[in-house]
Amino acid sequence: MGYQRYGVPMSGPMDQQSAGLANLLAGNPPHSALLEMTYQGPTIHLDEPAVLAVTGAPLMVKCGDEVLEMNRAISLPGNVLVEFGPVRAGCRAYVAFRGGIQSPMVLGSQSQYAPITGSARLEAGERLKYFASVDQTVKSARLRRDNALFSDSNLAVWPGPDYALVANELLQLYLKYPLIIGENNRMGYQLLLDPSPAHRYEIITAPVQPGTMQLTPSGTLLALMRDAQVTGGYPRVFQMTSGAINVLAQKRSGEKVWLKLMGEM
Amino acid sequence: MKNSEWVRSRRFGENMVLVEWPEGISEETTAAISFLQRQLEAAAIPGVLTCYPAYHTLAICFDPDMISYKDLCTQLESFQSDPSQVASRLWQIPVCYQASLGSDLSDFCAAVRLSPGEVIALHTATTYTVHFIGFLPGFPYLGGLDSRLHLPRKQIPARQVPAGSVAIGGGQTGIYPTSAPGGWHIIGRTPVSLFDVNHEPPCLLEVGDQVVFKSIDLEEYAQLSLVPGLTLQTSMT
Repeated sequence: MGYQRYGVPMSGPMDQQSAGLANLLAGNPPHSALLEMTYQGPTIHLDEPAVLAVTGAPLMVKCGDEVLEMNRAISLPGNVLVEFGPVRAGCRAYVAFRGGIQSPMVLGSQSQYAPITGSARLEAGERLKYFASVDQTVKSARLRRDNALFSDSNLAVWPGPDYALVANELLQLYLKYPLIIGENNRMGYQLLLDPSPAHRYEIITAPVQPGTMQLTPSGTLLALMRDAQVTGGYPRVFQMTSGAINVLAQKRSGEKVWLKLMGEM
Repeated sequence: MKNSEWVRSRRFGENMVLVEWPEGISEETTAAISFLQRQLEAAAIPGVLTCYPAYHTLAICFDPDMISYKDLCTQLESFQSDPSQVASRLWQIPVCYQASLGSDLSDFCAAVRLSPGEVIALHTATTYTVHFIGFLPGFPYLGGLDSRLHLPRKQIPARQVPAGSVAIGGGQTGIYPTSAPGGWHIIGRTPVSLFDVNHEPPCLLEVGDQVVFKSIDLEEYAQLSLVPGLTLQTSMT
């Protein structure tokens, strides 16, 4: 926050609901640095005891032969391997360590974002610091995973700033028919109508934010996500609610979503 | 409707307000945006987190738990919209316009039918306005490019434009602070850094600032490349 005027996006976890839950379960202040796993997770070696919590897309978590539960705080001894398997549904899972991951803060954030931080992702062999934590009294509270986050295919949207610029007949197509998810990454998700309605609408460069849906010339709707650039020259026809961004962050290429237009805020 | 006065403010998502000026690219609007941005910073309204501009809009991020949208709009009404004399800074950016550093220079000259000397003269004669920073960290949108240097973007963008590249695309000129794919015509390179995470602020250019380019030779380019950090020359206008 605060560096958008220099062209730096806010970045941060794609699914803020699941990331927030992981930090809560680990006993951390909100926005503590944590790991985001996309489609598959790593095998990590814990040098010291740790208290951690795994949330988000369901995946297998094992420590030795023991299968660990998601959505609760777990206390593990030191000198163990923790394996995270591939995601079974959805897209992104989160691991929070009590005390937060102690990675360098750059421009007020611990997010990775090339070219600001050296790299965009962690590679095999990297070492991360966390606070050794032994907690004999870890509460066994379990939180039921919010299934709606993974089963919902509706994206709640408001009209965007450029909604009134575009012919209503064209906009209605995006509200009436399912959109197919195309290429996607932390910067944005392509949402496709079939057939795709090409048009000539454009705007001069204006501010955008995560959740902004831009109408590109080919008719593809580009839903901007956490690493998106802060300004853009395509009409901003819809704006996702914060909940919708989290839902989309758990979707994969080929899946379908429906836009649901909300009334005035 | 004056270009320096905003015409409306409206909500953008849960936690943003857009203050909008008459549509278009204008120095008066950019000066007014810069003025409002500075007033907001000075006012330090609790719950107002940050703001960032584009050509005719200022986006203001706020925390709805600390200040309501309505209260923020009321507060905005109290700010002046007509800047009288806002001091802006003038930056001088050294550029080496050599084929080895500006890979599109000769093609560009052929397309606009000017000699390299004429292109350099026109590019360095203008005082450009920084309308905003966007697209990439530290990438300035500069206004005022001489119409004789306008050329549509390349059909096939380059996969990797080197950091520091000075380029022209359509009716705009700009500088790539970091290496990135890009479709603008690269006519030279600056040895100075425009964006440095170890500096606060990490970028020296701000909305409303002015920029001139100064042509330097390869030797001076090599010397300046050795100087670390953000080192632009400036003078107050």
